[in-house]
Amino acid sequence: MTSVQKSVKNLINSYSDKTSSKFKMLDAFLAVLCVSAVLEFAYALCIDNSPYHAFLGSFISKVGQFILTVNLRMQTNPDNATHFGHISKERAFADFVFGSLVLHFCAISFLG
Amino acid sequence: MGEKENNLKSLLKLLILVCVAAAAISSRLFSVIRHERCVTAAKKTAADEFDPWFNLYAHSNSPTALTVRSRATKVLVNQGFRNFWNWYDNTSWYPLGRATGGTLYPGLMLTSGLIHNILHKINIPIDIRNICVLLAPAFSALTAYTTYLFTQEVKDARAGLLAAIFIGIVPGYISRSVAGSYDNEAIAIFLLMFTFYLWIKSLRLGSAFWGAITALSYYYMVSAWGGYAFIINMVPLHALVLVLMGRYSPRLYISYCSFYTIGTLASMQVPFVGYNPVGTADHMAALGVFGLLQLIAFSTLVREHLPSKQQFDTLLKTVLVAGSVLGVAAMAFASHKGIIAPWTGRFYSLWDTGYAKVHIPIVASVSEHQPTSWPSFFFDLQMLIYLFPAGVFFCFHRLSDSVKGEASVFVIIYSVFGSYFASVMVRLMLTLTPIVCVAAAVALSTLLDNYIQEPEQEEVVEEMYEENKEVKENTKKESKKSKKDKKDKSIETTRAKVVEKIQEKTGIRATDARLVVIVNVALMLIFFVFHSTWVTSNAYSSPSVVLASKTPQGDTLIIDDFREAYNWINQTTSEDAVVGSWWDYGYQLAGMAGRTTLVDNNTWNNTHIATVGKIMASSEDVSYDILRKHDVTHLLVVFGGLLGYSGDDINKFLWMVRIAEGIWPDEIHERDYFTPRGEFRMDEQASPAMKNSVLYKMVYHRFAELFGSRPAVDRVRQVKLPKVGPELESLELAAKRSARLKQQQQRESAVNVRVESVEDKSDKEDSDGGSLIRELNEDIELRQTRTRGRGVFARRKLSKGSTVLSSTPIAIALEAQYLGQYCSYTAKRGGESSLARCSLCKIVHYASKQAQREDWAVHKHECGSLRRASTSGDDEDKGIPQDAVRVMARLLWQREHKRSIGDLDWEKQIDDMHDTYADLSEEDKISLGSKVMQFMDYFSQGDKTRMIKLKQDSGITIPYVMRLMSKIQTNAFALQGSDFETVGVAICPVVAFINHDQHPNCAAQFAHGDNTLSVTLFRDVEEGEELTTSYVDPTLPWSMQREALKKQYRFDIGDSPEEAVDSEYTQDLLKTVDEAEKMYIEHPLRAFQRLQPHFDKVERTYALHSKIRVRYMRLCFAIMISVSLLDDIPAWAPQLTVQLGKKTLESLKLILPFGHPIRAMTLAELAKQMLANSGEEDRMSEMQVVQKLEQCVYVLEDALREARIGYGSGSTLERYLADEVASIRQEVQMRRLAAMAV
Repeated sequence: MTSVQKSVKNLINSYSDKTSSKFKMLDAFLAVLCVSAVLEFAYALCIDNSPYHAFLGSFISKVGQFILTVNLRMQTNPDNATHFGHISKERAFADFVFGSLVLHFCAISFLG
Repeated sequence: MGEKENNLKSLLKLLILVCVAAAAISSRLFSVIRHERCVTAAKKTAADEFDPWFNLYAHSNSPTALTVRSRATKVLVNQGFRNFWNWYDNTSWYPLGRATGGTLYPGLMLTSGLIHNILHKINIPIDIRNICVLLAPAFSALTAYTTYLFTQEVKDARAGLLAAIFIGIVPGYISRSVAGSYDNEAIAIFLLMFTFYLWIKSLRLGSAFWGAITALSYYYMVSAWGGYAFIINMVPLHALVLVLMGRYSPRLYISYCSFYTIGTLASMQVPFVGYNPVGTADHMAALGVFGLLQLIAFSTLVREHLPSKQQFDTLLKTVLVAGSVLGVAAMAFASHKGIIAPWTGRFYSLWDTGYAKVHIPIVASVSEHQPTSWPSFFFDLQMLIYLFPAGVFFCFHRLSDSVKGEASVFVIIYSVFGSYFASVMVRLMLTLTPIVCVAAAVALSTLLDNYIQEPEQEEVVEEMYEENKEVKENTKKESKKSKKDKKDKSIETTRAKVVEKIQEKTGIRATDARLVVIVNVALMLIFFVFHSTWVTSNAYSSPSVVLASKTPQGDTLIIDDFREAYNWINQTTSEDAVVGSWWDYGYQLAGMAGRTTLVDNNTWNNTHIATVGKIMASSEDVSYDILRKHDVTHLLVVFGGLLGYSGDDINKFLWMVRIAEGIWPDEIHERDYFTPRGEFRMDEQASPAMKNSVLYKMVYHRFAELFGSRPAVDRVRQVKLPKVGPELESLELAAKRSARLKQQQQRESAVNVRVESVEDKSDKEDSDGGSLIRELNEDIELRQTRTRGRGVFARRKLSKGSTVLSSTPIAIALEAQYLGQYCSYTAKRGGESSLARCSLCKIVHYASKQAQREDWAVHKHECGSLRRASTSGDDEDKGIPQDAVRVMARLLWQREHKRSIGDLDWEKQIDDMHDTYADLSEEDKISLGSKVMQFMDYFSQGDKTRMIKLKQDSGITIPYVMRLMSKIQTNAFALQGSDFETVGVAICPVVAFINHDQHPNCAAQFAHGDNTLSVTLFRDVEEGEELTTSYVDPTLPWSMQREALKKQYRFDIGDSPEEAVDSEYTQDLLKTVDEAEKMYIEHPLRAFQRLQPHFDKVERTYALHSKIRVRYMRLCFAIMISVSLLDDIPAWAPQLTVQLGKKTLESLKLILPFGHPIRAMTLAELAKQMLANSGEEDRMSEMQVVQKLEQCVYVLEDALREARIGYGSGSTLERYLADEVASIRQEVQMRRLAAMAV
């Protein structure tokens, strides 16, 4: 148990040391999305999921937003430069905006 | 490699692609150009006429929604998007109708609508139908371009160009995209390839933008074709394989996850797809891979932040254990709750090739859902099919390539699954074709790269030269240090260069070797083009509604029967006609004939299709009811036996049977349609079920006439047909194409035909001044028909359960044994004590003094005769003549009486009665004669002088009496006592006018415990419909009914349509049943012992509704009831009785309609037995007794419901049952209370 605790502690330390504040902000946003999605899912599962399309729309748009943010984070992460050498930071952000627009357009149309 | 060269290359590429597009489009126009000319030539109209509708229908040979689509497109264009979406199509799937927007993939219609609107915006006024026709070729050009892009991702532009050419003209794809085939596939294959291309591209770039674009393309695909499931499983599979190969990268994460989330959300916007993407197992693989990628991405992140591997491992382990526990629990919960739907049948049928045949015959019945045969692979793909494995092999070679390796993995996976699916279903050849083109192009271009490409070789040499130079330079520079080494090196390189040069001249890369290969490849390509063109023009461009064939002289013969038949329907039938046909013709009927159809090519209500199958497979009587229920006015069948057109309905017949059997396993049995030896025959030895089926009758009806004196031959099945074809009873031939390809049969009810003839005749008689029509009451009237004599017809719509006629018989006579128990005038029951007895004869009893007074007019004559008869006989019972004789005597005395009081009209009733004397055989006349002698003796009390006086006074001569006797035999009703047993005979001429029918709608009953004969309907009757009843017990086997009717009523109902009583066992059984029937009243136990050995076999051998079985069961049941009246009942009897009663009922329910008197009777009988069967109450707990009583109540209530219809309201049976129900309810209540108190 102690080794697990130690590992977790190490992880947290390393994270707070190595990660830039910009990424920390992104991660916070991710965490918020994640928590709200989980809460919504639990609500749908335990209490009520009707209207189903509204639930699906909002849930999937959260998941999608999460994914797109992770994408942005990955593409702008200097560690991944080998993979995304050809993608500039501006381009990554443009991708993010475009993806989000498509996603939310779908979600809104689904909400009815 | 200058800029100029690059420009030249791009220009060439562009040119080539344009040429490919042109080739793709033009090779798909064969159909339009050629057959248009043929048809117009055949029709002798203007040669430049262009009929897009024709082209649309002509080329749809798929089960997909062509007409609805083209009609839907019209709705879309003319009435706008919103109306299209909410379009409810009433004429499809009659009588259900179809909410079109939610039941089809709208992509195709929206695409053509959009193109139409755009073209109109830029002032190109093209008709929407032309767009529909040309959509598929246009999209095939796009497909070619997309395949080029895709292959470019896999290999390079050279392979891409080859692939584009291949896909442009490969028959496997053309088969679904010729001009005029307005199928989903027309755009779906383009979308499939485009989505795959975008996926590969987004994977290469690792860009969310391209991921989102992929998702949008996927959305388009979802809206266009059900095959989108292929994408949503291929892409995750690709991702999964990459992960397993250890090639996970952030690029994969980004492209897959962005595609999946947006794609899923978007795909749910299509109404037809709905929530499937989050609910069905088909889509769960994608979700799983999505989850997996999240885990991997997260763990990668964690790993980056952890200093040691060990720490990561511990963490990983903990998370994995916790995660898997949670996951399994969640899955179990979801499956348990049914949140995740099980796999759909479509999926099972893909994995298990036998699945569809067993579970969903409807899917297997479509020819394109059959497994693909080997030749068709070659036919559709020609040389590509053997280049295909080579291409896949080269893809394995490229796996190591960091970027294109991923695309190669995709090609490999796609190839494996595509080949599998294509071999399972012919239809899925379509999804295999693109990847075959890609792989073949990769193989061929790799080959050509090695053998053609000079520049690359020059480069190699150049490089080597440069290397050499370098080496030399190096040698110069470093000469001082190690001269020997350098020398070796330079020698080696020089040697390599020499070898290269030698090889260039003599090895596999020598010019001549290269030439051989290149010429070979070129030849193969040329042959491929020829093959494709040939296949396209011959196999895939012939429209299915127009057949072209060559005469021996080489002229083209156009058979345009389909179109003419549809046109005939359109012109001749009324607008609201409902045309029934097998589903294959549904769309063509709707589109070309413009009539309402029962089922069409896209119907997914299996029951509805099975209904049509049942109509075709059952006998006319059965189908007639179904047809009526569905308002069908016409039935269409297609027959190709004369022309040799093998795609006709007889060859589809087994599927109809199978599909119908799936829904009605009790009524339709596939094996009934085979001969005992298991053959599917059409000739004289065809099975009875086959011969009686509506389809068989319709198809071969009057077929033999076409051949004149020669034997009729069915050219498709190569069989000779019987000289006399089947006759149709309730259907009427409406039209037949001269070529007999298509038969159009008009179904007209037998009833209607009769009604028509009635009206004809009555008109004539009106003009003569006399009419036979007599109104009996406000409900019914008597009419004279040409074919069936007089009959009783409804004057207005009557509902079942109503009593339409109550009549008192003009004469009744009790059987001798009941004379003491029933009133001889009113037929009311009473004990001997409660009845008044005629003090003179001491034989006849009356219910009241009044009855006795009223009867005196007749009885005063009868009394003496009776007295004489009872004393003169040896035995008392024998002395009194049988009831038929006595009733005739009463009739004549009554006549005397009426004459004496001046009522001369009364005897008209007697004269009016139908008689069959003329039809009697000599034998019958002799037996009738003996009865007449008996009568004469009885009537005249043995006094010859009185006899002579009668002759003179009243005209009662022997011939007259003979006729009267035969009249009575045919018109008498069995007088039923209060227990519904036959106690005598009654003469009731009015009721006797009701004709017999094998499928009656009413029954005549003495339902009120007296002599009132009431006619009660147990089916709804339309205005003008004839009332019919069954003269014999309808549960008897057909042959026995036939015999009885022949004997007593002198008409023949013909051979049984449903069961042939031919097997030895059946004969045997009938004999046993006859014997048992005779002896059971006196020796029930012995009779039962006779029957019992057959019990199991009867159940096994005969169908529930077979009349032999019903008769057997009923007899057993009746015997058991007699047994229960015995003094010492065997212990096994009560339970068996109830069991038999239930079984009897089960069978009866199948052959008699709800409310038929026999059903009500049997139910009542069963309830009685169940009640009686409570001797073991002491062994049961109180609750069990209550339960049992409650069951009795249920049965009684059923009986009550049926009795209300079968016997009309207020009958004795109803009263009895109601009393019984009330008393048992009371008892149940009491017992409940008692139990509670305890």
